[in-house]
Amino acid sequence: MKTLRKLLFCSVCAFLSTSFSLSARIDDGDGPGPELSAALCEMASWESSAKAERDSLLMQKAEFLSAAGETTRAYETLCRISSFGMNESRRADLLSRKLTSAYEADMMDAFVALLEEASGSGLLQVEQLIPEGNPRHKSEDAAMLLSVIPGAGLAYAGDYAAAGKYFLINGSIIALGVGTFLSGLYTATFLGGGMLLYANLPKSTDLAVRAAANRNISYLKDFYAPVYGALKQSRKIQETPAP
Amino acid sequence: MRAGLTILLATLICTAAASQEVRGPFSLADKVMNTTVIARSGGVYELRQKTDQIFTPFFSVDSLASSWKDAPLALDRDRMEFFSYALNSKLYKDAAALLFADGLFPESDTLSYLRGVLAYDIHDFALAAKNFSAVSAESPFQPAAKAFVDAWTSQPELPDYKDKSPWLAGAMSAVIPGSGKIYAGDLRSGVSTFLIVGALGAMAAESWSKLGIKDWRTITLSSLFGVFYIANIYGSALSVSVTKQTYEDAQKATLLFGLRIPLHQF
Repeated sequence: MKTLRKLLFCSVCAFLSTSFSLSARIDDGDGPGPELSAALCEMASWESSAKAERDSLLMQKAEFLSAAGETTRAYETLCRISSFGMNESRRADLLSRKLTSAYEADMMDAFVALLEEASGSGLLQVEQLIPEGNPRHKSEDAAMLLSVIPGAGLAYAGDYAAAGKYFLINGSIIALGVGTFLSGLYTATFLGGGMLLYANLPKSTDLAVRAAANRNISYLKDFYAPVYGALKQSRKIQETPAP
Repeated sequence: MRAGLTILLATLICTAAASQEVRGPFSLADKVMNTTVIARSGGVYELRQKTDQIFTPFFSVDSLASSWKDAPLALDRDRMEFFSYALNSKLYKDAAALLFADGLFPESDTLSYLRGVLAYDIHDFALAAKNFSAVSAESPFQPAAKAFVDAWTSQPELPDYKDKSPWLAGAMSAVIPGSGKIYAGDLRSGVSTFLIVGALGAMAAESWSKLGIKDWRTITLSSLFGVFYIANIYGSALSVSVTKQTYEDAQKATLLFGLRIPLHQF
């Protein structure tokens, strides 16, 4: 029993020391970080004379950039790879990488265009993954028009915190304007109220339009999440080495 | 008489305060007057925005710092061509990650020069000056590096600019709000200041005449007018040095941009 306890204690200690040393290695940044690794891939691809090798290095670079959170640069790197001369499976792989990269970089216009390309060319079997119906949509024009009512445009766009803030600010300005008007201070009402509203309304309108645009991106991401999930999953399976 | 003395005192305090960085309601009120639609369409404002943009680095090189544990790579002719390609293709982050990686390339004049060119391209001019200064006199890159350091450390001449007095600008704005800014060369900001301070003055005067001096609305409007009026004096005195600095920055930016081609010939 005593020996078993000792053995268990030693195993726990060994496990903990290994875990700590591993995490320390990761924290220390042992080896080149993802940015340097990506840059080394770029340099190697420039120095390489074979197209296949260059493409492969750029794909690696895109992976390092994704790991570094530089999703837009990762997508741009993949866009530099020409699919000319590639066989069908490599073209499909490139398209799949571009799709996941565009999704991660919130470049939903590019994602939808690539999805159409994938469906049209038959390179990727994605049609059955696209959900029925249309993604939800917030009209930017409606957000702009509703902004005439303090905070309404932002509330429509789904940014309730900013809607509350601008409802209070612009609502108070209007209330103050009515108050000063009823007190007979006409100059103060028109000059002061006008100035304050002029300073605040365009700002809240602009915020509402941008919030609607951002909301549309998140709706598109939610809508196409199954496609992204499937692509990511199939990439993981491909990259896992056979036992 | 009392009003005159108050104005004189306000002018003196604000002009003295404008010589240093002051935060608070006056600074905020001055910012409001300088960023209205009228002020933003002015030449000085636009020039200041442009120069601020020019002197702001695209990214910090420190964020890409990494270390290389293997043997250093050679910085030969081919690698130089790669960096030329990377900089011309705007692959700045890749070039920065490689050039500023600790131990990837051996320390040399060539490395310092390339680091300087990259820092110049990403508009981190202070870092560029530091690296160009490290290029030794024997290096073939020294003339180009020296040209940058000279341009960076020089005091640009402003042939069409006459020195203005911040005291006079402050005093002018104490008499006619915004006039000091017009004198300093910032016409649109002066007009914007005049309109805002004038409107607040009119509102306070109306309240005073209709509701009396002790009414809370009169007190509020008068206080607001007071803050903006003092901010107008403070901002006018400050705008003399800000306008001059803007012109100097623009002149320096022109000098630095002229160096692009000689710096990239490697």
